[in-house]
Amino acid sequence: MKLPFGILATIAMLMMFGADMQHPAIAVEPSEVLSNPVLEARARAISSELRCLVCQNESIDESNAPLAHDLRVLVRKRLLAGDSNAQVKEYIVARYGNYVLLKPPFIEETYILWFGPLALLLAATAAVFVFYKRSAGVPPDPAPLSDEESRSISILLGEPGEHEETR
Amino acid sequence: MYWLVFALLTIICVSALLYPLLRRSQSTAASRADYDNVVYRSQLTEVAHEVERGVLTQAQAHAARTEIHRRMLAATAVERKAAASPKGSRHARITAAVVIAVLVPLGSGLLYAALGSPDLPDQPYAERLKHDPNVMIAAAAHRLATDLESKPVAAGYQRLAEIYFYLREYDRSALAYQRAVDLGDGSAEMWSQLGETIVLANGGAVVPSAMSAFTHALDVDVREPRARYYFGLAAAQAHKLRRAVAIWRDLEKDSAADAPWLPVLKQHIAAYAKRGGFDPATITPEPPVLPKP
Amino acid sequence: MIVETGLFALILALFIAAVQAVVPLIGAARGDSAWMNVDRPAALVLFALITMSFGALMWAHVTSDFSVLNVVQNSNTDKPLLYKITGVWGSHEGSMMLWTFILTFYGMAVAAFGGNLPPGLRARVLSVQAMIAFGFILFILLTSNPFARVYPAPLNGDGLNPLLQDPGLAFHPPFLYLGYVGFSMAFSFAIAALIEGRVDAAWARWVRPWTLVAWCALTLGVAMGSWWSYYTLGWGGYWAWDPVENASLMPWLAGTALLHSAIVAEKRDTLKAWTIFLAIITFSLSLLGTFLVRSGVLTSVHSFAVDPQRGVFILLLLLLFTGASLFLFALRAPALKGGGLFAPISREGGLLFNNILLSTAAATVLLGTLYPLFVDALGLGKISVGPPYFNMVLVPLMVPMILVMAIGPFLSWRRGDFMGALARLKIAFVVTAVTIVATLLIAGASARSVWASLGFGLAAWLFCASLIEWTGRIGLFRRSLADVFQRARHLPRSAYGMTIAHMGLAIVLAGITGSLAWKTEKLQVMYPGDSVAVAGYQIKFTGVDNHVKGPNYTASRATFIASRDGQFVAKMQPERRVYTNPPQDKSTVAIHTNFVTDLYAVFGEPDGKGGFVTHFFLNPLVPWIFFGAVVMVFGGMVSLSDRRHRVGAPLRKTRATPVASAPAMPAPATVVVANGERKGLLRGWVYLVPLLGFIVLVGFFIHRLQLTSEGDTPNLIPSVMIGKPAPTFNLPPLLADRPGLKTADLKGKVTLVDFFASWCVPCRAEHPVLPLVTQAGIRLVGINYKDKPADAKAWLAELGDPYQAVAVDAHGRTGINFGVYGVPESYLVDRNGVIRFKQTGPLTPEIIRSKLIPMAEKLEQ
Repeated sequence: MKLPFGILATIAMLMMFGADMQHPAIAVEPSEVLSNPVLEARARAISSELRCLVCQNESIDESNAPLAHDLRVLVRKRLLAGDSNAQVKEYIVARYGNYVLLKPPFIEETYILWFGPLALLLAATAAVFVFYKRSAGVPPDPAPLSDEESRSISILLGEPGEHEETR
Repeated sequence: MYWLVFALLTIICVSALLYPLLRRSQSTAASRADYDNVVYRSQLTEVAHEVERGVLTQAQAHAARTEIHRRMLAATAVERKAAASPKGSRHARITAAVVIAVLVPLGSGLLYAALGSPDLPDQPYAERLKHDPNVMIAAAAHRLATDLESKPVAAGYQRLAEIYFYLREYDRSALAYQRAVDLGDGSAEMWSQLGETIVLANGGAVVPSAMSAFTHALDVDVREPRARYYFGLAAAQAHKLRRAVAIWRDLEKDSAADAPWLPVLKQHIAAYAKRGGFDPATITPEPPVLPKP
Repeated sequence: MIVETGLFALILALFIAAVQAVVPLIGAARGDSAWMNVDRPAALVLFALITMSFGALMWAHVTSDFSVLNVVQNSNTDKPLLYKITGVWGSHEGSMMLWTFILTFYGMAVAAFGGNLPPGLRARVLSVQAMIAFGFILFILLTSNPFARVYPAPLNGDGLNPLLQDPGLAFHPPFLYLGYVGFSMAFSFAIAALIEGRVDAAWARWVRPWTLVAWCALTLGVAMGSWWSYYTLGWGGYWAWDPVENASLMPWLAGTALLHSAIVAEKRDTLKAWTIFLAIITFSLSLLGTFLVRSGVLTSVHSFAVDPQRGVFILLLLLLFTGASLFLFALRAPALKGGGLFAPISREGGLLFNNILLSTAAATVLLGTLYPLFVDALGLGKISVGPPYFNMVLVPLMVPMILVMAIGPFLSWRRGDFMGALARLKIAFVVTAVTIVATLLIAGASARSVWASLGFGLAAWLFCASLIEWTGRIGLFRRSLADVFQRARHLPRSAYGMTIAHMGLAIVLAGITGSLAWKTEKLQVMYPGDSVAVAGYQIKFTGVDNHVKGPNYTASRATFIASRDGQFVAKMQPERRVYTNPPQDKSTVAIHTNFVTDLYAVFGEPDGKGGFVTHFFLNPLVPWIFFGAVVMVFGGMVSLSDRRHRVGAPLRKTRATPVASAPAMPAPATVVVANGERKGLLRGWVYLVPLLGFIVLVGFFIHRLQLTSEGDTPNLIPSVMIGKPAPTFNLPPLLADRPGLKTADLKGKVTLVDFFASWCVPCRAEHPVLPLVTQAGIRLVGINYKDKPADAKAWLAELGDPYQAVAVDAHGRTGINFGVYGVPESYLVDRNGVIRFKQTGPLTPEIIRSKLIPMAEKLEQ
């Protein structure tokens, strides 16, 4: 038995339990906030780099889905337990994979992502370098018009310009 | 009428297209180089202005002018090469015109026949409000709903729910019943009506929220027939046919001989017993089991 | 009548577009002016028909004609008139109509105002425009007919998403589309020039005004979208690097590059192939955006209802337009001869440098946006690319661009004097340095204020340099006042345009820097009468009015009084609205601005004890971002009004061209030789690279659409727990007479751990098939995820209990340890307690039979 796409899509939608499809007005709830402002600031920074799994494209810091709430609380618990920022992220990644990291890790799979822009820039620079090299030695100023050319142009310009200028 | 308008529209549009093709005297356009040279002349003027303003030195201006002159010469030279291109014949033009005049109306007509609904008139809401009784009722219901927002009364919501139910707007009806139950003392009948409306709003599935409404109904009156019927249906939907038939037989046993639901109920019992492959008479009637809070 | 006429007009427009695409093109190829001249009437008729059709749709919306499906799905009689009108483009169908309407509007504009274009070029341009129009009208008619009817007509409609019932969003799409679609003009000009085989300085001038119009509209459209996001979504930000936002940024970056490279092409007759390439790419990126938003290949916060069938159709259009044009480019571009030469340090050199940075930035955004798709398609797992990536990668690209942007205008064409330019920028150096130091002194030394000071320094550098360039041109401080005034008056508008637009960017930059560096926020529960201090402001919560009535919503409105040093500053009234049709919530933000800083208040949920969650932001300099964008658009418009763009047409009069009478015209070859014996800059095959890249990209899209149609949506995440031991847990039982569950219990026998909850709708679909698991001899245990025990017990009593043990995970912590993100999910654990398989979503008989049972049998051996 194969479910038609429509049904699967519906189920996928329903599975996002309680996921709000829009930006919520307020995601982080006051009850979650840690009393230690330094830790809280770290928690906010970490949460804004972790993707909410059930939302369309939001960090857990921006989402008011229940799972995002749970993960925010978890992040704060780990911080209180003395984890470093990297350890907290590792903890979440160990369970949900690299998908949760909004800043992709620097691994083999992402080399192209991280080096791509630089490579593009270098390639473009090289192309421009070739462009300049080809014209090196040639003065940018054009050669003066030959007599023949001068004659033709004076014929061209000699006739009063028969054109209308709309103003 | 429709086809007349469409035909008129088509004729106007197609004739606008055909006009340039069929016109006898074709005006000779200026040559491409003329267009190019208008731009280049303007560029020369700009160079002159820039020299005046002191933005360009004489040497720079000279170089710029030389370049522009060369462009003018190049444009004119290309023009001379391209001048030999063939001119179309009048015969070809007429053929093209005929093809357009036939294919555009034909294609449009056929595609419209496939996609359009020429029998359906426009139905602006304001018009329907004057003629369509259902729309009038819906509008009245809407007014009632607005009034109830400011002065909520259980009986009012019940009435509103019934209207929506009649209009087959089950979602709204369920919401109104919910308000009625919240506001009033919640009779068994009202609870079971809420449940039934939720079921209908969900395309016939006895969903948990409906079940909780039926449970409330039976909490108030354990004999409430509608709730008992849906308890049976819920069991049937969970593939527990024997259990379903048991509940229904229990309801059948308690029903008066002239109860309006009896024929449907009997049909259901027979149909589900057949599907389960058992004899309904062998099933002991059992009341629904209410979840303990 | 009106509705059906609208449909008929749309159908007729399809065929008119076909005629307009074919006849003028043939005419231009054969040099037959009669065929070519079909272009103008056709473009006018096409525009009239689409206007009729669009008008009919609008009529249906305004009169609430519920016999039209599109009206039923997106309107309601309650809706205020403004949103009945703007709601026309709130849906996919209507927005495509708007798209086509704008497309034909541009075609009409060429037909009506393009008198200065050579007939051959104009015929080809309008023909290409008509091809695009044909593709999109066909798309509308076949997959998204806005005139589909319903019989009998429903009593009322479903209403429009409340988020779209907002003036900002109502007018954001028309401007965005004016921009996206406006770049179709540059595209059509590029294709026409490639077909013609002629790209020259004159061509560059003809295409420039259209590019400018599109750029202005797109800048405004993007800014409006950002502004809307800022003041309605209540998150205090304005840009989230969402794929859909990126889809609008990419054409903007490419279009900005195009705008500048076209200047070089016009002035110096060089960089022509590059300009053509940018024109193709800019419009292709617009099409790509349309595809991404509507096909569901990426997950985004703001996409339209996703439909793979539509996705396939748009992909087809993208393939046709972009593929064919890149093919044509590969064919013709190598033959485009370079014109004037220039030294690296020159105006052209500066423009080229920034073109490289802008296009690298556009390519980077494209790479980041699509990278998750690539990685997934190659089977390397699923990753996310979010804001941190884009911020990290784009900033280094933008900084040198802005540095050079300030210097470029001081360099002369061909060969510039770099040291001379720097010398003229002395004051800018001083101002920049003062800005950096002052920022550091005021803000104190922290990493954050170092960044802020550099950002402000950059903004000051650009602003100051633009100002110096302008004063230099008019000779301020060097000449008599009368002379200065005279010069200021005669300075071309395009020069003013550049100065204004560059200053606008400096303002945007300052705004972004300020908002990133010093955004302050405060989140708390407040009771009426409470006060809170936010970055120097005192905000008092005076109370809530729970019975605010809007036209189609009711709202709770909070009142806050903001004061500073005891002085009243503002009364702020954010709301929480509940719309009736469709029943959805929306929060409206209250913003008090003094044009430097925004005080931003969001009113949240009640806490049940008389208090309310409130969230305040102090967003410094955010108004500058939007103001700066408007200044940029204004600069573009000033430039557009330059009289150079209004060069007229030559008189229509046959006359012997001087060529014929010039006995000794140099052959074109001589001209090229005089230019320095240069053939195409790069070898021919290099021009094939874009086409090949594009084909690979399309391959990825097809693969993704294929997966999606098989049910593997982009947000279905594979588990990383497979192959790892089940996490440690020890959970209490749900039912008192049965055991609970701990990790050790999973060992010894192949076990399926099923996470379920009574509130989960798909779990209901899954429940009846669970006995198949136990029948196959697999041990089945349930973990009741974040549920009320009473509900869970009722659920099992009601539907039956197939589980050998049911444990309670009340807070979802064990779920997180397993990597659960949406119940129902089930994990197959082998005899050693190692997870071997995960099913996300409900189990079906097919999955149990084809995957679960064979795997369990293998593990059991």
